[in-house]
Amino acid sequence: MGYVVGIGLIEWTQKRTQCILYGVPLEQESLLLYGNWILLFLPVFLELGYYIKGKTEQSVMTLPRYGSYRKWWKEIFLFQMLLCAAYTMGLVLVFIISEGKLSYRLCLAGLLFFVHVLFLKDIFLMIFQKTKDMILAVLCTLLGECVPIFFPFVRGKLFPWYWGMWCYSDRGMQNGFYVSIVLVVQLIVSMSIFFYFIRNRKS
Amino acid sequence: MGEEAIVLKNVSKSFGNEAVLKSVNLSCQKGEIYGVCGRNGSGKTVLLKIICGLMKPDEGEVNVCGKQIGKDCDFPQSIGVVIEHPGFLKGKSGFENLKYLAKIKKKITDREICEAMTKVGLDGTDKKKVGKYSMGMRQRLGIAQAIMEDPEVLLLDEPINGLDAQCTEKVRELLLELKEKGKVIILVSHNKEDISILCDKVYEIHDGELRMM
Repeated sequence: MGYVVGIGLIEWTQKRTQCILYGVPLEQESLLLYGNWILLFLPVFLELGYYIKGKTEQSVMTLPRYGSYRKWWKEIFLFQMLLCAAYTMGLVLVFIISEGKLSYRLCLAGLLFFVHVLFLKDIFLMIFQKTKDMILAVLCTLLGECVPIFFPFVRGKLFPWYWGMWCYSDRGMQNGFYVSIVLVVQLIVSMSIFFYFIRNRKS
Repeated sequence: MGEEAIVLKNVSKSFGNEAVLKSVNLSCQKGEIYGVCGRNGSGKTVLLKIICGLMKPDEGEVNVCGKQIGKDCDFPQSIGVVIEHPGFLKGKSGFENLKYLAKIKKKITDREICEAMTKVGLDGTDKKKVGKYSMGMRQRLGIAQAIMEDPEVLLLDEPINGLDAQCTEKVRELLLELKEKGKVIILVSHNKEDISILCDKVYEIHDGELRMM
């Protein structure tokens, strides 16, 4: 009995571990696993929120010193990009240790995750800039990741919240989204938001 | 007559239906201190934010040191600002906070930061965190960050608020010294004594209009 429970526990843990970084597969969808998936983003968003809050509070003193909004936003975006890159590399490193090798699948999952985090944090910035409400911006951005579980009919390649999950890519399932297209689209959106911020004085 | 450092032409600003500033004209010369007073919510801080580029006017033109804000540059190049409560990093010392700000322009040395702190009665070697500073100390640190890079223009919103008599005197002396050096200072204050001692010209904002007193 203990043996069966032990094996079950290991399998359950493995499934959950797989859902981290690779995404929540269709056949295993549950609120708990989506919770896991969202938790993966939380450290990045908490740090981003804290950073933006500090930057905003100090803006009266810092903005005139930068001399232009462009420089100020560039520094913010650069920091965020480095933060996302460092976090993704940390995650990939943990998986390299746990899997014992650096596989192509892991590299691709890492890349998808990194670009997706960049995409989400730009959406977050946009919502924050419009609403000036940090918690609302974090919730709107991250709860989007849970939409599939509440609205199962909202599925498909065109649904951006899936784009960070390797398991929904054409490499992870049949008729999945095309990795290259998804990466390019997300990068275009991110770049557009970046240019919106550095060109818009009011922002 | 001194050189014009700040020129506002027909500047207006509204929030919704409320007109905070109505066609404001102002000309400030170097080597003078200008006082601005008015009731709470009259638009004093908005005026300062517009001059330093932190807020965009709905209409009108703002020129600081010969450059039009929003057209030639986003912010004036040589400006020191104390508006509202300065958002210092609470976990860092006063010196560390100023060093962080000074790093942006990379114009001054550690020694100059310490000198600016000394001018307002703070010790640059003190390791005390800003989170443990009194209101008066934070206020003085705010003034130190505004003056440390020796800007041509100073915008000070209630800089003497919360200071004891000794520090108030020190800050007043500092402002007069900066005036002698040819800086232009706009001082927003409710304190009539400060205004009468320090300012060469005094304006009042009433119903969105800037009137000389």
